[in-house]
Amino acid sequence: MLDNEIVDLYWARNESAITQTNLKYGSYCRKIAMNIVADIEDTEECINDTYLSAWNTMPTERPSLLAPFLASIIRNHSITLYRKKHSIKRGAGQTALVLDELFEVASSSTTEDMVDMSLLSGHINGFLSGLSADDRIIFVRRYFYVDSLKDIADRFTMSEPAVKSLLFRLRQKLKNHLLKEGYEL
Amino acid sequence: MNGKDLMDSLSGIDPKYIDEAAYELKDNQTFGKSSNKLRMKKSLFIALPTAAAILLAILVSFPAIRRLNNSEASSADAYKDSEAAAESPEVYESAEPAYEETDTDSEAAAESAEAYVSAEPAYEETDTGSEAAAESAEAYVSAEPAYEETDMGSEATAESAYESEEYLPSEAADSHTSDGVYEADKQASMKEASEEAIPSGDANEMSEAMAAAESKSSYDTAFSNGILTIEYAGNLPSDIEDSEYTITGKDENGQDKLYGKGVLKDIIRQTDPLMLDLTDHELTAGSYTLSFADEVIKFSF
Repeated sequence: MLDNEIVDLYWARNESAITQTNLKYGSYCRKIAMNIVADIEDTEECINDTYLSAWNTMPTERPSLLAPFLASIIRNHSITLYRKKHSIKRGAGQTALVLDELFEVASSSTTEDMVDMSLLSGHINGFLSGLSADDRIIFVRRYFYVDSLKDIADRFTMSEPAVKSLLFRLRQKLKNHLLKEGYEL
Repeated sequence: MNGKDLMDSLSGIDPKYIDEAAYELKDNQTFGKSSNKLRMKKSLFIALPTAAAILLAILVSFPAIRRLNNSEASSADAYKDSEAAAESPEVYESAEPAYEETDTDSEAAAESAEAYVSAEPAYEETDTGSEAAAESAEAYVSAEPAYEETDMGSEATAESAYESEEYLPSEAADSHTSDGVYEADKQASMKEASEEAIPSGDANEMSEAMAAAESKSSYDTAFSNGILTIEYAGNLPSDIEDSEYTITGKDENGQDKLYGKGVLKDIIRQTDPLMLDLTDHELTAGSYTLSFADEVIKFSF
């Protein structure tokens, strides 16, 4: 089923929309949640929350691409659940590592409220648009999808140290980009 | 702003970038560019040093082979006509000083050959013996003047004559065989002498090759904030990531101490130049030796 047909089902409040979503994007969503929470039960909880969010959001929103729409929702749910379960920052799984890496880019003590998230997302988009396709995909795989270094290395036929080194350079670029935009890091 | 904010704001990146990277949904998509590039780099990393090594080996060995061939050719000429060979400029032009010694030996050997052939007393003994010896007598008659010269000559000649006395009673029946044996001996001695001449003749090439081999593993090191950067003048040895490494140094009593060991892939930050993260080993100022694969890297800070 095409994305717009599934979206139509949501808009028509037809419950088969969730079945169709699960058929088409279930494994995709499961992979994202699993990368972040690293637990099967938590993953299922995130997926259910995601479908509910999609159900509640859809009449007002009409995403042209359903996959990124669902990916953003499940990523947020997964991070929220992860934080709930790991009140101490350090924990098992890729999320702790990714957070550590992102703290290398920005570790200012400025409170969260001070940062305009949508503006920051816009600046990150600007940064991503300046990267080569491969670099951009690797960055997004690591910091959006929270893929492990091994998965990325296998996918791109690279060694893990090479991926690590590339990500290090990309983080430095992001830091410079954000500094240029006036952020305190 | 901190890493948590970044993590959150990454959820709001452009859907086209999220979709672009969603390879679970388009598994038929290949990332050919980077993988092919990487494969090409990897194969070049192996092929280029190999080709360079082969070329170097050819460059070093080719002049040596040529000299060996020249030496063999000239020794054959020397045997056929030792006087002509001694005067021939072609034979001596390419000869190194060491080869001149060989040639002197060759002349002496050639002289002793004449003495050997002309060992008349022994021949006469043989002559009284068998018919075959009588036939070979014809071969020796013409050698008489040479024998006379030899007789008046050097110790080597006398020794050769003596040897021929011992030799001829048993073998004089076949003068061809004795010539053949002598020829083989002479050529072997010439070849040995030539081989000895080659190393001294190629001393320059060999030293150049050794210098090249040494320079291959030369490196510069820099240590900063726990990161050791190693810049190789040549090529980094291939497939080092799985190699084990050790870091040794001296403790406060001047005794050897192991400061760390593990697998390189755990500490590699970057491969070109090679950057190793040694922060976990908590090294203090001093001199250390890092060993992995066949490499020994000395660094200090």
